[in-house]
Amino acid sequence: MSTGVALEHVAKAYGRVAAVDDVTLALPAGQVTAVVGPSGCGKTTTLRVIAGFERPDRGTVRVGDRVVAGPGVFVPPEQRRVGMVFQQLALFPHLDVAGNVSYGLRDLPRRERVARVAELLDLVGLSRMGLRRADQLSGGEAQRVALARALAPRPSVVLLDEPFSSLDVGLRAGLRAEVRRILHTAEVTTLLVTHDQDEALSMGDHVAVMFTGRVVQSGPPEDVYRRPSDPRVGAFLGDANDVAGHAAGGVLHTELGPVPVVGAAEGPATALVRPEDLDVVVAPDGEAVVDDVDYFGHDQLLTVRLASGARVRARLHARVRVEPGSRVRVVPCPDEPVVAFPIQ
Amino acid sequence: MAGVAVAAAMVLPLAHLVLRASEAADPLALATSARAARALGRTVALATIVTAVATVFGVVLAWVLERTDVPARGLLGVVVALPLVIPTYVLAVAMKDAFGPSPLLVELPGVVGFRGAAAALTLATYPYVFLVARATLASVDPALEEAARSLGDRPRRVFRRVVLPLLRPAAAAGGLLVFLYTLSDFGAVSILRYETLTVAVFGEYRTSFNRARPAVLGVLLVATTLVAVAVERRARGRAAATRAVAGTRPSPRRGLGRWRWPVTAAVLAVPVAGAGVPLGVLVYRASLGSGSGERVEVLARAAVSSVGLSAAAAVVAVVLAVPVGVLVVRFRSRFATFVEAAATAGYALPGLVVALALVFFAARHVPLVYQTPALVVFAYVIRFYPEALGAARASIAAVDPALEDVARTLGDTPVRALRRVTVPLVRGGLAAGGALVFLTAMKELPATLLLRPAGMDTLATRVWTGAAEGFYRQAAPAALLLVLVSALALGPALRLAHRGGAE
Repeated sequence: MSTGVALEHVAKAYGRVAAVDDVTLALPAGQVTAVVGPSGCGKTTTLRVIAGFERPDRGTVRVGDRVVAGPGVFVPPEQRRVGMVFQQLALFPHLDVAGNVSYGLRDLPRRERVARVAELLDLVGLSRMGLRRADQLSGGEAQRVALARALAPRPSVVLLDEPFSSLDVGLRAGLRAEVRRILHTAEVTTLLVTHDQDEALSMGDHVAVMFTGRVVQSGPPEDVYRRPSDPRVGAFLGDANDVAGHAAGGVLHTELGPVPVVGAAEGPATALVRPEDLDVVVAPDGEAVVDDVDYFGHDQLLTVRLASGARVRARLHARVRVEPGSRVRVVPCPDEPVVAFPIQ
Repeated sequence: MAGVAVAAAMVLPLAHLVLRASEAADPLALATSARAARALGRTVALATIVTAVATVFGVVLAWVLERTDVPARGLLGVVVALPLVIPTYVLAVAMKDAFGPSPLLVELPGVVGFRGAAAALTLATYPYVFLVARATLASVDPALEEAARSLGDRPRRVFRRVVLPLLRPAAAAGGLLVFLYTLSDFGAVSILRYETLTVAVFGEYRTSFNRARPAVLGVLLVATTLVAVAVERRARGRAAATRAVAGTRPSPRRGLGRWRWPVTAAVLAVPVAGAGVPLGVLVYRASLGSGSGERVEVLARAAVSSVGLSAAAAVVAVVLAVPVGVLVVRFRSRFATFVEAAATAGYALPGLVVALALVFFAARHVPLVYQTPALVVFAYVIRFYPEALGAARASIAAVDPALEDVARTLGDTPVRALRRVTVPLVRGGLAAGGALVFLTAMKELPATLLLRPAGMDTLATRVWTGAAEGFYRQAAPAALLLVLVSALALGPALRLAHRGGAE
């Protein structure tokens, strides 16, 4: 029943500022697509264009086979069957939980409406909360009510705008898993907009990275994380070391030794080496020195100064005892070739 | 201590009034007499119709200014609120002069009587609803209306299902203000000859030596007030507290298209009728009279009296507001709540009732102050103290108590910390509260009429006596001067309203 969404060359400017420059993006039916990018990259505008709250200056938006925005076409939000969970949730303060969830079910006969509300509250695990007022809910409960309200009219698409940003960090992880379960149960096409790369990688079946009004890369989370198409993407999605060297025959020769790479053919290049791709061995004769240790309990992040003066970060087990000043050797140990970009 | 004194001062006169009313031979028969019943019926009818129309006006105007693309919204918002500076009796004088019998402009039927009184009071009071509704609309998270649209509602339906319910508490609160204002209004209804309870109380007081009769009617008026407050509590509905969300985008506005200018003209027509036309009439009338017009020194003396009494009331109210404000904000307790409630009660009491209570109380127990300016000031303070207290409360609450603690750790004694840290921080808010008291005291009519020493005139009483006797040339210059002085005090008062809205 769910349908995909396609944006083609969508642009939207406010005055002279282009919020969305040229976005082409497909949301596969029934899956979660996470759009991630720094604040101001145009991701929320993209979402509001799909919802129908912004009218694109150029380009076409399709929901299923239907053009909802395009040259000479603009379908108002109430006719798009696009559900939305707002950043601040926007629960109606004058209605109770059941009233909020049934808001979009105006056209259903009473009996079906009651049944649908019960079904949704059950799905989000709030069966007994129907009579609560919006201001009597915890952050996580309010979050789930907002999701239930958006899903109730069986929209073809659900849009989530930074849905976890108003929650405590401790609550987020649990709720993310819960929301992912609900979305997959509902089999609804979903667009999630976030500035949090962890959230994008863990929630999205697909991840699209946006910078300055454009989608720079999209694909499955592992691909985008392991094989960024652009150094900015690599740096934005998690921690990364830029390790310079000389590429020849699929190997980048660096100060750390040979690193298997893809991407750059021959000549000077930079490899994007994740901290977990570096092994650190304590060695009295090592030429590298530990500068700093960030201890996290389950692991630790070391900042290591190499012989050349360059610094790299390496993640390793907490069992290895190192402290600032320890002499070490740094050994690249990627499971698969890492991405390298030629140096211009 | 200060709290007890303030609360007692507010409550004692009223208790005394009830006592006097109970001295009547048969208070129940008096309260249910034909005159009382007729006056009560008229009062309720007038207040109901005025509240209904003013609420619709206020809500619609607020929606147009907050949700459509009418031009010059900032300026338009100020203009729409402008009738606030015109006292109802000034509006009534202008209406009667321009459209009443032997009119300056053209005679309209019904200006003297119910229709005229209802029109004058509606035009004078809709800004109360407008301001509250507008502040509410401005603070509503725009995502609420967007959520309703994404759930399938057309804009008109969003208005009905989301905007109106969200406005309900604001409309109820604003409506209550209008209702209470109409109940307590004396100037407009007496000038336009519509005998409501206040006019009946005044008439009984003037014509009968029996003190119990006006007292009974006054208690009846207070009872009506209490019923209105109780009804509003119900009508407010579940407190749909709309949290203002900081940093969200402004609410989307509807393009009016070719209706943009007609709608703007319609919006403007309301304040023009409520402020523009009456002021124009007064200016015209004042320009006519030279020979038998108001003598300058009489006018000047009245102006000095008005400003003196009002300024004294403002200072006293602010000075009394500080200790109670500290008590209420810093030492939250059941006692503090009681003091606050008692201190606020005067606001809901019609000025005429407060004055009547003070007349009886002073004449019998404190003859020294009877017929002195001090008693007038005291009546103003009882009536308008809540305005000063609200300002004091808000500004004291805005000061982080930790700041005083910091001063203590740097060597200040508690009193010195209060003086060096808190007082400078709340000074602006207190001044604004004082300006508000000054503004409302300047316009006060019924208590001034009853309590002023023989021979003393204020601008308000000049307007009223002039209008009552048909001497519009006497009334017009005093009315204009009154509006002018009020407008000058409005700036600081508005600043306070803004700060209050930010909290």
